[in-house]
Amino acid sequence: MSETASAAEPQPDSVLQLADRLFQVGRGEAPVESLVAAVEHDGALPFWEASVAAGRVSAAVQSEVWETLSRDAIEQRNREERRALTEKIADARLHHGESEVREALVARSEYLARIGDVEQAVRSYEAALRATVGAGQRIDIYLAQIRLGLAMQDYRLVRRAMSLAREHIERGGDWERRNRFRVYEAVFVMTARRDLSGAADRLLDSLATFTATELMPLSRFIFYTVVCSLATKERPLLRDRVAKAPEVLQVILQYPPLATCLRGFVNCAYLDISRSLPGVLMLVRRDRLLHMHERYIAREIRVAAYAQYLVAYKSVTLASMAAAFGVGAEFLDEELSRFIAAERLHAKIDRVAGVIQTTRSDTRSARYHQIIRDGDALLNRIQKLSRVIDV
Amino acid sequence: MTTDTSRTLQLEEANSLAEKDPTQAEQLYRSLLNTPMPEGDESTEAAQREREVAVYGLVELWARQGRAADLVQLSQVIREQFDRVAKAKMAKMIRTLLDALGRCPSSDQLQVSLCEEVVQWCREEKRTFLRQRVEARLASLYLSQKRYGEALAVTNALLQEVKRLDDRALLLEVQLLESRIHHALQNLPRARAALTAARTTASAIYVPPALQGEIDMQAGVLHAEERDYKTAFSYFYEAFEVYATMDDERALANLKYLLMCKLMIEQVPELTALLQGRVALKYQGREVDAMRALAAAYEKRSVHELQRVLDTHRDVLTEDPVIQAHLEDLYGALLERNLLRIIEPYSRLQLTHIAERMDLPVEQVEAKCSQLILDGKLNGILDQGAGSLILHGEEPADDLCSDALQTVQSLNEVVSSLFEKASTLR
Repeated sequence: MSETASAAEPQPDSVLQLADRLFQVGRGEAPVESLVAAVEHDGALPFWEASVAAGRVSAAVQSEVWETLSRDAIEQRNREERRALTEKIADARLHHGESEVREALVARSEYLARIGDVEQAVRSYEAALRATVGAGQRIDIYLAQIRLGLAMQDYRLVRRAMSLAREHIERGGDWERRNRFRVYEAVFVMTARRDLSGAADRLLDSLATFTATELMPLSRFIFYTVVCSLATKERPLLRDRVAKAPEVLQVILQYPPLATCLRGFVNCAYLDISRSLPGVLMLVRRDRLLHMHERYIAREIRVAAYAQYLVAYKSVTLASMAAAFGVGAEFLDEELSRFIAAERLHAKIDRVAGVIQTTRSDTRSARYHQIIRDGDALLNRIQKLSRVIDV
Repeated sequence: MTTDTSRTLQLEEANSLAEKDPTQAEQLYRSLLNTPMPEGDESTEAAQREREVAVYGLVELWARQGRAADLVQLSQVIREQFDRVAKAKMAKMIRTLLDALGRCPSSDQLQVSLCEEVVQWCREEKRTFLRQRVEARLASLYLSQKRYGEALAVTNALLQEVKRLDDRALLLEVQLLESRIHHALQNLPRARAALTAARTTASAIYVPPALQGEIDMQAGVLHAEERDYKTAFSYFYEAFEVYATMDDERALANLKYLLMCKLMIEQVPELTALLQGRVALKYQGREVDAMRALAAAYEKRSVHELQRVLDTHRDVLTEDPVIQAHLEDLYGALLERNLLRIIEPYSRLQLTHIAERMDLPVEQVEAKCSQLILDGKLNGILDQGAGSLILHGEEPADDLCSDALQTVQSLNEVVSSLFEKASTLR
């Protein structure tokens, strides 16, 4: 892992940072002036207009921004910039070789991406792609498009760019790009499909080789890794792959509630888990790509904690379980009954005796049932296959 | 205005008074420093040297008296008075002052702020040499204050600079420091990497024994972390010998650690032999007593004894982070072993029975059992309603089921690929 200062590593794309800032302003955690300043600095008028059109901005913020934004100046600057870049392309075509043309095309595309003009940027990127031969450079362009899509929440663009990137990578991408792409994939499935388990798998695989700082800084990467793992993975994995990873150890101190929660799971300190969970959720709420899954994450972590506690017990009193978690017996009763009814926990509550009985079917019959289920599904698929082949 | 000779006399007087009448000595030193510089080159040099001696005298005096705040002020004086004339000397004085400050009790925060101030001043005045050394000291202060993030930041920046300058002695120091910081952060791979780098640097220069001892000690610590107690023992022994010959106080710590290593690999007789040997006799004291008591407790396999020893000798055992981590493991391992041995012959037993046998509270026993079950070391389940622990017998090998599942999964994959091929055919 590099020990160089951030001067050597690329910073996250400015349009990604803009999107984050917009999100923070929406939550009231950043002043509107900072947003206006950023938009003016990047000339990102299209970004702003698209965000407004997509309904991502409250009326109050909108009016305040429109008042202070020097719209005409920005439009003027953008027009000039655009003209200059297009001229450069024409000039390159006339006087220079292919690689200069390509560079000029990429420069224009990057500019359009930076101001958040998705349509134009994609078109410009297409032109750049036509001029690009090397697989590595093609993949870089796809990755840039994914970043743009993630910033503008245009998931159709992201999906398309991802499948194209995947093709090229499978055909012959180098390891570095392969690793970077895995991180991009992880972030996409995490935010767009709520597949935290799949995201966690990919993020953990990329833990030792993270270089995608143009997408997010290391600290945020670790944040996602730990949160997704806590919500979906079991204790052995948490203990061996997450809690012991040097990368995690380095960063996690920046997120104290997260550190406590992780430690709680590893050391079976259920009180710590209860106490730190609100802090963790607050961090989740503040993240642009995770906040929509806050409830889900809250639920999953709670279920995981209860399940882990109950693994060792055939029966346990409501009182002692409540004490272990530092909550009242009534509250615990409600929680458990909700999860039991949803078949997330295998237990039964004997309210009269104040005892929880776990009802875990023994492994043998569980496996037997699973064989039957899987075998059935397989038979169906074979039938479908026979229909397809029977031409 | 005092003449040359009178000043020299003052100095001699002050030096001799330093032990007996510190207040008087202090006054003399101070007056020496406060007198304005005389004109003329020759007398300037002599006067300069005298002031130097006065400064060192004051520093030593105040260090012994623990007057940290005065020392901090003195640093300002030093910078003002000596900077223009003798830069190297000024640098040396500041460093001596910092060392002296380190000897003052509970002066950590003062040290940190002074270092930060000096670093800032060095940046302004472009005193790279001094700044780097003060920064190294600052980083180690941060480390001792557990401000790991800041320590790491300073160290990383320093490393880049010093590598370029090819100043191997300083580089070695900083790399060793880096290894310690990473170890404190539990980042073993990077701690090891830093130590290897330090060793490489050390191989190219002459390493004074004290520094070599530190390298060996750190190597021992890291090997112990990886549970390689044999190698750790030999490193600690090396370091111990080096320090013992120098009569350095760090020998004691290394003795403690090497005894601990013997304990961790359960070579108690060898441990006792070491304790009775000539070597340890020289170092009688709390540390050695603690280790002896630990060995005894371990022999008896008694968790209680162990806990008692840990409590009575808290200052030398629990307060020492290196020992504490390993002792926790020892305690846990002993607890586990005793627990499992008690449970062994039973298929079902009361938790209270276990608690009685182990002489521990029921809650602790229960918590430990549930953790063991979760870790898979105990094949059973707790029935808290009945207050008992039920042990499952050996499960018959369930190959048939797992094989069947595997087969079904493989067939699934075959079907998937057939689907793909079929779609390409069309």
